[in-house]
Amino acid sequence: MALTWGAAPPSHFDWREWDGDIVVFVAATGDTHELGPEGSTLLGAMLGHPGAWHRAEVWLSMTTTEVDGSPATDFTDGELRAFEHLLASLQRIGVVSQPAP
Amino acid sequence: MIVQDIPPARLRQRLRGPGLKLRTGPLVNCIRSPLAAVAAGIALNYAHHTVEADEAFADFHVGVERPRSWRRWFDPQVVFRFDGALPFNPLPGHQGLPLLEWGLNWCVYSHCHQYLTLHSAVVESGGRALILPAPSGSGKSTLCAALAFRGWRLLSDELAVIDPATGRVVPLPRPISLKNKSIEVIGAFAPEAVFSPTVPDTVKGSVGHVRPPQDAVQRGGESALPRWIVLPRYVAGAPTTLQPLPRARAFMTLVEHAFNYNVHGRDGFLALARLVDGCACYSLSYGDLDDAVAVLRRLADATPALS
Repeated sequence: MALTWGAAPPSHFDWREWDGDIVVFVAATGDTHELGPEGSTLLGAMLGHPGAWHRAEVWLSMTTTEVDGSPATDFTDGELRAFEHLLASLQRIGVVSQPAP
Repeated sequence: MIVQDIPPARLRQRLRGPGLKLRTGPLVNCIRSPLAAVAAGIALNYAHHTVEADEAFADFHVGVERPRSWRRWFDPQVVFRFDGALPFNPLPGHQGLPLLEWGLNWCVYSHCHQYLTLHSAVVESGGRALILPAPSGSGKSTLCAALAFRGWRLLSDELAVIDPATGRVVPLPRPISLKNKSIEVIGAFAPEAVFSPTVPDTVKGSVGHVRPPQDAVQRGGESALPRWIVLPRYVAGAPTTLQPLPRARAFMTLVEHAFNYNVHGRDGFLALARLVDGCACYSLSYGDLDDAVAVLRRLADATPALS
């Protein structure tokens, strides 16, 4: 079964967004992170869909638009791998998680 | 009673004996020192500060003295004593006054965890605080001194002390520490400024302290609402530019400059986020002090007054 991802439970972290930039405080580590543009867009999308678990390409589609503004659907392997790397890094800091098996 | 009301001989006697209970903002420091240079420095730099009664509670008991070692006969040193312990290595004997200032800073950021403490200068205008976080060598204290002698009230040149419960900046008006060329620069910029003698060859170069303006000391109980965060950077010969700074970047800069953010955990995050919410954020590059002061005055004048 393909891996799915979603925002970690709200009790795991606090966040604040300014002009599209998100910073987070992770309760378990006490660390604070500035997510940068891609991370902010992704976490913002996940926070907009609480409780949703999606495969990487679904989140990628939800956070990427074509020139005409429609959701992008066609990705290269490299784009997908880079996006999975982003998911993994956000999971590592504790703001993204995968559903329990 | 304020320090300048105490005759020099009695001031030295207090410093040698029970200690001088000196109020700086919300804190009382019980200071002891047998050193004449430290007594003279306190008389000059803290002339307008309140002296509390001998029986008053003191937040910190500190001393600057010669270590009890055979070296004192041929190569005198000074040590900073805190609650009987020596938290720092000895320094050369002529550095008692800077050591006292550095030690008092250390007392605040190492122990006052009821506050969120940032490495930052803070000045106030119209009840609104301008927070200037910056690393050493960025021109923060020079700019702070210039502002303090051009209509802004000095809250602190080194530590932004924030009450996390109210979000307000608590004043800690103490001498402004200047280094190297900044001493001359401020001497020319504000001839009315009162300096203690320059102490050469410290780890920071030559260090001089400017007495805080009397008004800043007298209003040491008036907190201020943070309204601007400005990251200053002195660049020789550069034009003065004030650029908007993304709030997330400003937030992370405050985290980087916080002494005890980790102590406050989630509450610290929320307090700093509220602070950033309420502030306009900028980076300031300046090569001319008059220009920088004028730019910040225009910024203050263009910002609505507190209702």
